[in-house]
Amino acid sequence: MALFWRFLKGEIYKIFHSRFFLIVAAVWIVLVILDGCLAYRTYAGNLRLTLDTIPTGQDGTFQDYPFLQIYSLYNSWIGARVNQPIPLIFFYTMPVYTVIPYSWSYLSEKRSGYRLTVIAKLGRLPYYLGKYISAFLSGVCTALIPLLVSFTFVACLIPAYRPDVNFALYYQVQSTDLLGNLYYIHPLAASLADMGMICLFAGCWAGVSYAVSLYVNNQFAALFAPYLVLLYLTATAEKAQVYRSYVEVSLFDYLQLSSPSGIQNAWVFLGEMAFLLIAPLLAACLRGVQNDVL
Amino acid sequence: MFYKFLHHDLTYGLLLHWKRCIVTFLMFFCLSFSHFLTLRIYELIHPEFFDAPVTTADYFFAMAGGCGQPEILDGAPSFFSIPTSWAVFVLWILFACLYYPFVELQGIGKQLMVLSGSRWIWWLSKCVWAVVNTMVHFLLALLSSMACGLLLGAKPGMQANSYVALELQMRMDRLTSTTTWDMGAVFLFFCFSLVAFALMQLALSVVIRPVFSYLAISAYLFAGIYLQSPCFLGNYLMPARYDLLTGTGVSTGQGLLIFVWLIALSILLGGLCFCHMDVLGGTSD
Repeated sequence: MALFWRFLKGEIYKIFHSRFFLIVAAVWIVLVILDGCLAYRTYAGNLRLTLDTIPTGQDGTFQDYPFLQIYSLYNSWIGARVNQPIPLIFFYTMPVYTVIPYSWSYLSEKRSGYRLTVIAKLGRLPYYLGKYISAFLSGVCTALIPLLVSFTFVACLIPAYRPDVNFALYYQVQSTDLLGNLYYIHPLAASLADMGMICLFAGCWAGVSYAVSLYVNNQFAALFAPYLVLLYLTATAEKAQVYRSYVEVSLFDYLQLSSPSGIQNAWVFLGEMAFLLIAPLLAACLRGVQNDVL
Repeated sequence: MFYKFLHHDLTYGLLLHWKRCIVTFLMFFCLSFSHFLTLRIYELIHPEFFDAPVTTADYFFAMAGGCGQPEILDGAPSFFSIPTSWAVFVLWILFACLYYPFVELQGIGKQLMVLSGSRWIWWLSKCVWAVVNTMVHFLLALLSSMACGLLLGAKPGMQANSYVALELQMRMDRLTSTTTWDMGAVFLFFCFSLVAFALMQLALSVVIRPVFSYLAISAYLFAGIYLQSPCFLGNYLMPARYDLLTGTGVSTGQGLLIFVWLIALSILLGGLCFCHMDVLGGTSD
C-alpha cells in the first residue's frame, strides 16, 4: 500500500510539473479573463445606461426601478454565461484540453518502457488504477483552476447581486434547469455545484481518454477519438429527438447553469456521468487483472 | 522524385487507411438518417414542405449545413442550439488529415526525406496528400449521405429544398429562394474551404505541433458559430451562411479570395517553417 501511495504521489507531482499542464492552464486562464472582461463591459454598459436614463432624487436614490441586478456575478462568470462565444469555446473544447496534461502519459510510458519497470515493482492492478486516479485528478484540476479564476476575477468587477426571479429572462435560468431552484435561493451554492459538475465531467473525461489509450497505440486517436465520438453521439441524439422530446441529452449543455435548447434532467445527467465514470474504471481494472506477460 | 513521394503518401496515408474511409462512410450514413426522422415530423406539422420531392442534396445539406446566423438578444429567451452534426463533420475531416504526416515523419518519412535530400519535396507531397485526403473524405460523406437519401426514397439531384432552412435555424424571410437552391456551387465551395482549412492545419502543426493546431482550429471554428464575420473563417465552412442561400450571408466571392491566399500562405510559410524544423529530436505529438 505504501508503494501505491508513493506511486500516486509521484504521478500527481508529474501532473503539476508537466509543461502541457502549464500551457493548458495558461491558455484557459487567458480565455476566462477575456470572458470576464467582456462580461464587465456588458455590466458597465448597463450601469451607464441606468445612470443616464433613470432620474435620481435629491437623496441620490433612483426614482424609477433600476435594472442593475440583471448583470450579477452569478450570471457573469463563465459557467453561467449562456449563448456567448467564449463559454462556448470553453465548454466545447474542454474534453480535449482536459486530456492533454496527463491522459497520454500511459502511451509515453509504454513507448519508453518505464511502464514495465513500475509494473514489476508495483503490480499490474495498482499501476493501472493509480494511473486512472491520476488521470481523473488531472482532469479535475485542469478544469477547476480556470473556473476559480473566472469566478474570482468576475467577483472583483461585478457585484454579486442576488438573482431575482422576476428577471429570470435575463439570467436564462429556469426552474426546469437542474440547478434552477437553488440558483434563486442560494446562488453561491448553485455556482459551486455547477463548478463541481464541470470538474466531475472533466475528471471523468480524462479517465475516458486514458482508458482508450490502454487499447490503442495512436496517441492522436486516444486524445481526439473519444471527443469526436461524444460529439457524434450528441449530434445523433439531438437530431433523433427533434420535436419529439425536449429533454436535454447533450452533456455540454448540462455543464452550464442553463441549457439554451432543452430541459435539463437530473437522471440523464447522472446516467451519463455514471457511465463516463464506471466504463473507464472497468477498462483500467480489466487491464490490471489480465494475466499476460509484461 | 516528387511523384514517388506522392505515390508513397497516397498509398500509406490514404489507401492503407481504408478502415478510416469506411468509418467516414458509415458515420455520415447514420447521421444522415436522422433527417429522415425529422421529415416524418414535418409531414405532420408542415405538409406544404412536400409539394416538391425531397432530394439527396437535402440530406447532405441538413447534415453538414451548419446553422444560420444566431440572433441572441439580452432579456429574450433563446432557442439557438449548437450545430453539433456540422461540428462532427468538419472536425472529423480535419482529424483525418491531422496525424499521418507527423507519424510518418517519426518513421520511414525521415529516412525518405534524408535520402531525397530535399525537405520541400516531402512538404509539397504532404500538402497534395492533405488536399486529396480532404476531398476523398468530403466525397465519401457526400456519397454516404446521398446513398442514405436514396435508400429512404429521396430523389437524386443537387437541388435542395428551402424547407431545410428551418432545420438549420436560418431566417426564413432572408432566403435567396423560397423553393429550391442549386447546391452544386455551394458544395464545391464548401469542399474548397475544407481543403484550405486542412492545409492551414498542416502548416500550423509544423509550428505549434499537431495536437495544439487541432485545438486552436477547433476553438476558432466554435468561435465562428456565434460571430458571423469574415474574420472567423469557420463561417465559410457553413453552407447555411453563404450569400448564395441567404441574403445576409457571408460573401462566397470574398471567401474564395481569402482561401486562395490562405492556401498559398499555408504552403509557403508551412514549408519555410518545416525547413527549419528539428526533425531529428521532435516527437509526434
